[in-house]
Amino acid sequence: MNRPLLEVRNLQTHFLTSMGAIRAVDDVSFSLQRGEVLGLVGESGSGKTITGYSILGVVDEPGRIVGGEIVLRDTEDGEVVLNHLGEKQLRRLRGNRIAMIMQDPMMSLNPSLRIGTQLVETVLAHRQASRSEAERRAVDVMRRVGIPDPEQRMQAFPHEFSGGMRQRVAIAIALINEPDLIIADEPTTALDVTTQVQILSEVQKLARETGTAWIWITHDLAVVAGLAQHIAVMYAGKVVEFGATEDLLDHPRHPYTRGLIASIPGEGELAADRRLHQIPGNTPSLLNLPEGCAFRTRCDRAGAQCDIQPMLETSSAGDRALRCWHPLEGQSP
Amino acid sequence: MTPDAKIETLLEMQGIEHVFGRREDWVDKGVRLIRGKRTAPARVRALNGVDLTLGKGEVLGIAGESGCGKSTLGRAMVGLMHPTGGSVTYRGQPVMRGRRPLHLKLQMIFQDSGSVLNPRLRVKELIGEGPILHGLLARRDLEDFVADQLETVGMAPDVMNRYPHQFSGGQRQRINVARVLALRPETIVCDESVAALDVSIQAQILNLFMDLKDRFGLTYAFISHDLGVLRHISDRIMVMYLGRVVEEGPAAEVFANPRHPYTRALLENAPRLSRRNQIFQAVPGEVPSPLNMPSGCAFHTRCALRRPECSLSVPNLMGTGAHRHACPIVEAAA
Ligand SMILES: Nc1ncnc2c1ncn2[C@@H]1O[C@H](COP(=O)(O)OP(=O)(O)OP(=O)(O)O)[C@@H](O)[C@H]1O
Ligand SMILES: Nc1ncnc2c1ncn2[C@@H]1O[C@H](COP(=O)(O)OP(=O)(O)O)[C@@H](O)[C@H]1O
Ligand code: SF4
Ligand code: SF4
Ligand SMILES: [Mg+2]
Ligand SMILES: [Mg+2]
Repeated sequence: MNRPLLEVRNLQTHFLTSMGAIRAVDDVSFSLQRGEVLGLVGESGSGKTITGYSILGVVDEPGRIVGGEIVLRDTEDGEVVLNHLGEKQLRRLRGNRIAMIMQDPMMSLNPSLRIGTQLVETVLAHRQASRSEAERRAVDVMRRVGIPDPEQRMQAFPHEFSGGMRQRVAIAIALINEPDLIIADEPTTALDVTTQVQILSEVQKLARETGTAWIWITHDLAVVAGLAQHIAVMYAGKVVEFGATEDLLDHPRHPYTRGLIASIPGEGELAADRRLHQIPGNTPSLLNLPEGCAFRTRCDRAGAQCDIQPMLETSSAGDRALRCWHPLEGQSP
Repeated sequence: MTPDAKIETLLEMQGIEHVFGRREDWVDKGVRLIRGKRTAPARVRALNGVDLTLGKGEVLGIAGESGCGKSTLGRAMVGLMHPTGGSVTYRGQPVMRGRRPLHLKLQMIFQDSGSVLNPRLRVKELIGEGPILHGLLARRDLEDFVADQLETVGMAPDVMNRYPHQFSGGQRQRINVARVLALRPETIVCDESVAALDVSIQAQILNLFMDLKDRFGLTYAFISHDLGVLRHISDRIMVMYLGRVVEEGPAAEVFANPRHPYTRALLENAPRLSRRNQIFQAVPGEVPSPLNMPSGCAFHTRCALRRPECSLSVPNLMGTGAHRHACPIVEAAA
């Protein structure tokens, strides 16, 4: 196996607020090959977005990467540690080798510029290309994300588009320079099935044809089931389970992963009483986490040992990692 | 069309049409002043001959892609909007009087739970003011009443003095549900009511909806683009495409044997937990603009089974029994 394109090792990103340190990302590790899609899954507030921001180097004050390393390799096996680079070097990589599609598409769009201008500028910022070449690229990428009449739509402003259309434009901006890595933050969660499927098929094509690697952030396991080769599950700032998609979904070993899978509606046999599995309790506040394993207060397998924080243990083959004192045996959920 | 003759029909819609006429907005005005060009007055045909009945105690799921008219239909159901054509009745009475919804028994829950809750009101007022206004509640009973409502949706009574921003998205949706339940509705139209929630919270809210249905005999129309949610919750399903119903029937049957090419495309390609390493295949072609509706069967611009005659006339719903679809081509092949 080639050395991974991206390796995140023991990443810690904390927000130092007046109320105390919010450990938004607290010991996150995973790696990713070229052309691979990694699903980063977890509920709201678990640290998915901040993990993405950390990789891109756009964490806002009072947030800081306080530990760990984010390593990006190029094809010649040269490597850079992203969190050791200065802002100027990072800016050269952003939008070029790494790009992010934001949860809210308006964060990637300038409301006062025409869509076409924004796409063309993204090309010209990083490529030696003529304006007409850049325009051709822009039209092409808009068509690929399913925007009808791209030539005409180039003239439109973001506010003239529906939410779904804006999201496609934001995706087009991320795609246009064919970066090595795209971090996509819940980009299809608000879209309807047909639009979502169109974008997912484009993502797959890009991963296959250009070797772009994706980190697909979502709380929707069904999407990453079809899209991702590996899945990392986050809970309260930590990766609690990591594995190959099939293996992880068919044989979850962390109690939280199993709970998530079981609460998805409309899968398999429908329960006669129309009730879904519920994970008891609510997501704890990061300011007020239980000692030890953060899932302890909601876990039906918790024991005395769980007062101590379990480490993320990687299997000998390196293809599975787990953070739990009393894991499931890997039976079907 | 009634699902079961013995079930009492609550809501009935017949031949609903709705055309949004677009007024000149500031963008159009700018274009006119700067370029001297008038942007054509756009008319959006959002609904085009929709018939629907809702029987007591049933859950009707409404599916379809963005812009196909689901929310417009939902708003017309509860009398928040006057469709430009057709009739809407609830227990035989029109749902609107003048510009006002007539029936307290018919309520709607929207997607964005955060933004519909007035940020300056406490939970107590959010839940209690409606019933007081409608004479369902005496002000001196407010706190007991709110405590009861909160308990119904699984929240502690002591949150009643807090403001909406002090809650998570899932909790706000619970408050929203409590607020609607406080009006003692019989029928609730849910428009993407769980779309913004995490699966674990979504499971809580969906279970809550089912608990309330059992407890109070509620009836639901459930609008969602999430097919998993619809499969889980619906007794009956209605699939819409560009303002028309293209397929309807018992949910289990429609999901097991979809007939209309659009329904098939939707179900075959949707992400599912059980579909690993899926090759996602987009429905070919582009979603037609409702400003410029295709003639005949509106799906003909994207349909793999299309024949020349498909663009000539609008197919009606056909088929026997409760499971019906609007495609003569698959009907002939069956
Ligand atoms: N106030 C309005 N003025 C003009 N057109 C409108 C208005 N409201 C809705 N429309 C149009 O009517 C059509 C149906 O809209 P509707 O909101 O019912 O769609 P929907 O099926 O609920 O979509 P979504 O899944 O995105 O919520 C769309 O083409 C929409 O752009
Ligand atoms: N600017 C900030 N200041 C303080 N805390 C923050 C800030 N941004 C995010 N957080 C906190 O970090 C945690 C992780 O956030 P995020 O990565 O956005 O979660 P997710 O994307 O998984 O929903 C949350 O508890 C959030 O409240
Ligand atoms: S470590 Fe303990 S509390 Fe945490 S998930 Fe495992 S069994 Fe449950
Ligand atoms: S009527 Fe024709 S175009 Fe419409 S769904 Fe049937 S085959 Fe396709
Ligand atoms: Mg996020
Ligand atoms: Mg809608």
